[in-house]
Amino acid sequence: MDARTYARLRPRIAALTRERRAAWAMLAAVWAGLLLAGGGLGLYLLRLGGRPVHLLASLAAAGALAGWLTPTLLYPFKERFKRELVKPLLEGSLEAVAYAPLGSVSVLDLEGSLLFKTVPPDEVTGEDLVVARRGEVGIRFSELRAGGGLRRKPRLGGERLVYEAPVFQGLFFVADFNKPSPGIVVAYPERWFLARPQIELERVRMEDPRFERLFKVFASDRIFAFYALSPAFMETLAAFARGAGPVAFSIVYGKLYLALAGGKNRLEPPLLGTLYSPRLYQGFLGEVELFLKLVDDLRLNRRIWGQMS
Amino acid sequence: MTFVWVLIVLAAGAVGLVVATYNRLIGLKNQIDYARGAIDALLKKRFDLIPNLVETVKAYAKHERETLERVTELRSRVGRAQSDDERFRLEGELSGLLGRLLVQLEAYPQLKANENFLELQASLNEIEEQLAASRRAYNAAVVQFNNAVEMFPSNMVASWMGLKPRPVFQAEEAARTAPDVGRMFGS
Repeated sequence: MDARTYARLRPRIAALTRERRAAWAMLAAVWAGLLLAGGGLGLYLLRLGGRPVHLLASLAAAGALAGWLTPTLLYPFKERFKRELVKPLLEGSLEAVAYAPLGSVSVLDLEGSLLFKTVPPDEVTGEDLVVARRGEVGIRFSELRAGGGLRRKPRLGGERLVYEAPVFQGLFFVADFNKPSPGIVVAYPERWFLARPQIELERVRMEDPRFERLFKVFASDRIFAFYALSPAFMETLAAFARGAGPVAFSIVYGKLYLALAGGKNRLEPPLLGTLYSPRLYQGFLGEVELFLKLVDDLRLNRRIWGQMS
Repeated sequence: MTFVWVLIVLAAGAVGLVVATYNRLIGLKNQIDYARGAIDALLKKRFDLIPNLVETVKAYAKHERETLERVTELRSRVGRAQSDDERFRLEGELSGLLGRLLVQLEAYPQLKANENFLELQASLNEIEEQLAASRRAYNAAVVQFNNAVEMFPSNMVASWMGLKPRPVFQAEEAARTAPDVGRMFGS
């Protein structure tokens, strides 16, 4: 984040810090009120001849109610944090930025990327959708979680609840691939959600041994794989994979996809600690910048290409 | 009897290994031929675009007559090339010359308004990128093939098949950097 953007955001961060303080005060008041009410009810029950368990049950019920209300009480602060900061943060490197805290990229994009196995649409949830442009390139991305959770599985004549890991959880990017793209390229690390793509693609070995150690490349045409994965592109992707963790990439008929796996929501505001530290925003911005660098490396930012027949 | 079975299993294993190596070598050789075919197709495309480029440019860029003549001459020498090696060398020279020409044409702003020139410029730039990718694919295939031809035990099958290591594609100095004309023209 550059100094000018940070200076522009400081007043908003100050207002958000005040709002967070107010949210904490409200939360403390709700917890105290409910625990007092629960304790009072328990004592009343004791006076009526109840046992200590009644007091404990009243307090536990009050605590559970307060716990249930906590996310609702904190939501306005979180929502405002994202609305106030995400858009201005991204406007430094993107144009026509639109932000929807509850939106997400489409499940069709997830399937179209060929980076994951198919997931029923109702099992895909997301948030923090950003739709923007980088020159001529349309870009959208969001946090995404697909599949996973508790499921009933048959076991020894009965059923049992089993936890399944999500098919994907992390940040998912989509961009227009403004070049004649007569094919498909998929690149992902050795330990990914798929061992092989679910359609027939050729395994291509790239000439960069460092990249080969980190990624497996599959393509519909080996020359298209070399066309898409230029040396600069491979270097950027490999450097990022070494620094930030699992990252996968594909180009499928006119769209470029990038998936950054990771359980943590990059845009979740901290409930404790300072909001002023630029490091809070660097992680998210760094990932967006990586994607934009890949877009720039591919020189997608110019719609001057004609279809070559 | 056991000894005979051991011999049969060993022989079957050896035959299997030879067949697998043979098929692998053929696969690698075909990869090289495929990449070579793609390079040929792209060079042909570029070859066909050059007369158009010269025709479009000569009306605007009179001071570049010498370079245009050199491009035309190189193109006809490519057409008359006696061997693939000579043709690839001349194509490399042509790449460098075209790059330089497109840079020099930056001095002619009226060309930027010419739709035909812009299309040619985009096509040439795209062909250069595809050529660079095809050459990398060719070289990667050649390296894999040469490793298989020279390493034990596949070198034994390769020598029986009469396969020899292939040279990798070496770009001419001038053609090593493909001209990024789109960026130069600020498109």
